[in-house]
Amino acid sequence: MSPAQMILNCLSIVFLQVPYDQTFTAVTAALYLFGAWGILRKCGLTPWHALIPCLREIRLGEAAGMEKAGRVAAFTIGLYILLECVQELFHPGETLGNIIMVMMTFNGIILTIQQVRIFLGLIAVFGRKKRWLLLWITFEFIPAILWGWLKKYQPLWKASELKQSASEFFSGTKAEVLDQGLTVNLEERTATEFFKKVYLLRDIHMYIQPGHMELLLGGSGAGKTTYLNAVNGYEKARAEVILNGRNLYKEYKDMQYEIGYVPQQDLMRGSDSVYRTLADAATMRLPATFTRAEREARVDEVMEIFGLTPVKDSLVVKLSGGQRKRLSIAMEFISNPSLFILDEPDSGLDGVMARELFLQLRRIADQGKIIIVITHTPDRVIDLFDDVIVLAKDNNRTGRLAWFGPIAEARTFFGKDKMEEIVKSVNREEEGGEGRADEFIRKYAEVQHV
Amino acid sequence: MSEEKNAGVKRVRRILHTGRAGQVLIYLGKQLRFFINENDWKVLPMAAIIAGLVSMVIRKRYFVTMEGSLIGAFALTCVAIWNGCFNSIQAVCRERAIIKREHRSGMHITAYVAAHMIYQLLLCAAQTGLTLFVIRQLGVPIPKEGFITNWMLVDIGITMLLISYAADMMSLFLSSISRTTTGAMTLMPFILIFQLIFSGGIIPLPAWSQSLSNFTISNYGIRALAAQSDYNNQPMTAVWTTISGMKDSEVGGTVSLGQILDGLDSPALEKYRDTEVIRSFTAEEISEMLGFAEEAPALPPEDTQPGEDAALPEDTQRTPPVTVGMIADFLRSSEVLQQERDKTITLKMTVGDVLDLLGEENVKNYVQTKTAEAAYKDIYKQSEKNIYGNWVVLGLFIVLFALMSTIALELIDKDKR
Repeated sequence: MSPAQMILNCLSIVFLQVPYDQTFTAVTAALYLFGAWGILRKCGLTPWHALIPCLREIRLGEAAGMEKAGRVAAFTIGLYILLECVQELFHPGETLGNIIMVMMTFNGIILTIQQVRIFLGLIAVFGRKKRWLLLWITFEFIPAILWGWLKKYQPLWKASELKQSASEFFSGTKAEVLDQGLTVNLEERTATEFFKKVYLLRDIHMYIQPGHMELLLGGSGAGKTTYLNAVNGYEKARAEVILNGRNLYKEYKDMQYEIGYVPQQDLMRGSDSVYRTLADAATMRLPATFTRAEREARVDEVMEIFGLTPVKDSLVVKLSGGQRKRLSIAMEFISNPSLFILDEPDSGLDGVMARELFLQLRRIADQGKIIIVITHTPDRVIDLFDDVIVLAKDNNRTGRLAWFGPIAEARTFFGKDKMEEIVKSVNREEEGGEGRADEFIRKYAEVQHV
Repeated sequence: MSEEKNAGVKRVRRILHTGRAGQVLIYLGKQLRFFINENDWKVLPMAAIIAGLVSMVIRKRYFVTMEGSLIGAFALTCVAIWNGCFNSIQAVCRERAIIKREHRSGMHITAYVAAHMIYQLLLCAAQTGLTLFVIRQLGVPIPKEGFITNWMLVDIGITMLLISYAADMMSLFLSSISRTTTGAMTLMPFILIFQLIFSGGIIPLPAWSQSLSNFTISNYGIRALAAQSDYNNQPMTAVWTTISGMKDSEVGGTVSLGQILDGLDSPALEKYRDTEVIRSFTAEEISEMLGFAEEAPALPPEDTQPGEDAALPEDTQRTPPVTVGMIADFLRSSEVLQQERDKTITLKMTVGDVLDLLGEENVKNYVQTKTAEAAYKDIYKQSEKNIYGNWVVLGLFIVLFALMSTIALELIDKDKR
């Protein structure tokens, strides 16, 4: 291969990801770029980005609502180009050639998976049937040109709209810090997804009085569990969490025993008996100053409170759903925490059992504890709660505070009688909701700011 | 409880909770209950079954021949690695969510890993004991006297326990980095294949990949077990077995007399010039062979000098020995043969005929000795230094993987939900 051919080949690999002498494939690759140009234009993104390898995948990922898949695809395309050029330019020996071949195969599989995800995302954005995927996988240039340039094919929503900033709605009003109770001043909780910073939660401020039982509402993906994990200090956010006058983030090692967190799943070992589970929990969570007799007395007391005494010798695996849930709560209650957080404690329980469980929680709250509960069926027990916290996803898909306050005022604020209707009003339209999250986030931010 | 106020935020003296040692006992108890209640005990009969299968393959050759010892070492290493890997591959990932919950409630990861280490050590020891019991019962000829300790079973037991435990810790690490049991079980075959292929014992590796075997537990396990079975001092039977299996195969070909005569000048033959082909005989022996003892002429003794009187006792008179060199010189100098250089000779005989001609037992001994010499490996040398060295490396693997498991689990809070 002459130097000119080599350069031509490299250019062809860089821009089309195909060697220049494979004419048919090169032409179809060029047609695909042309189609991608049209798709980006329709989705409100910069169309010429379709010509730049890697950037094209990132933009198509954004257009498809599959940003992470787009970034991974961009990375694999970049790696593919690099490996192809190494093979073309340096004529590696047999061993190196084999290693590159294995890497390219591995890379190709990852790229294909990510492309399938992007194509599925585009199918959803353009509101088409999933059978289009077959055409996308086999002859991607055909759907790309059709969707990119025919008026008949239009996206249901544009990526450019999703990129609008919601920062103007921030209240930034910090909640007060008192000697008793829980203060949460959360500025932001972020995560990194394949080299990109993603905001999971922003601008959430509240003060909860001791003895209050709070209901935490929000659609799926609104960040409820993320918020609870930030509040209990397990996944730290850029925030200040003060419990009874002590900074939870700074004194986490000492204060972790003051917080009881009951996860959604019943995370216990089936091979332990009820008594052993609680006895081990007591040994782990109660101060070392407790004598063996005191620990045993506490275990017996907690078993009585949660109605577990009759099944004390049963293995956890043999318990009913309700018994397991009570045991899960009892494990946390054993250390007598001042903040009690429960993630869907009523999942899998019937109405009667759920009500009984929430009554028990109410009694615990009445002892001066703070209780925060996530539940998807709040209306059957709403009379037991003091306040409601409503989280909602803004346009950037960041969890934001849409309401925190008494139940009755929440009804007025959202103009809804039932809590489930409030959740529906802040959910996105494609999730079956009313898509009014930004409206309420802005309204609540303004109320707080005033 | 002393308190001090600082900018509106209280600082309270730390309340002590159950420490690491106490937590180790708690988690050890949980492991043992898991063993009884969740069928973890099934790994024991499985170990016995695997040992039985392997014994059937190695029982006639382990400790008997060189290749038998190597295959035995490889097979026992495979058994130990297999047992170790399956003991703990799901141990952590199956309860990952529980660990996260307990970690946020004050569980020390070091205590959790230590409890696993103790429990897995007990499990590996039980499996090793069972394996040795089974292979002994099924007739694997393990010698009584050991090399490091007084009993060979104990020597092999220590090595197998170390291999098994190292593999166990490796799997514990894999389990610690896997989010789900499916993920761990997907990873497992790759690791097993890597351990077995790159063990460097049985499968010849290309030069570039040989260094990879230094990173496998199996490599050091095979080295230790092969050294304990005294690999280097065993006969090698593979080549002889192949030859004797070819007894009915015909060998031969057509050569010209010239080719044979040219072959007499080869340096290889030159090396054997002084080798006796026909030994010296006394006159009496020749007479007996020919059957006319009384008429036998008196031959001069071996050390008789020219001109000396040859009238010596009959039993000391002898012929000079015939050497390879003498025959070669005779053939080379023969004018008749040189004139017939272009004449061809076709030889056709079976391997069995050749063996009969040369003496089957001689060839067997020669082949076994020479192939054993060629297969000698320093890494399998039966020495305390060598065996202890391999044990130390296996011990390092155990410590390394336990440390890596601890580090991986300390990062459990970073798990994505």
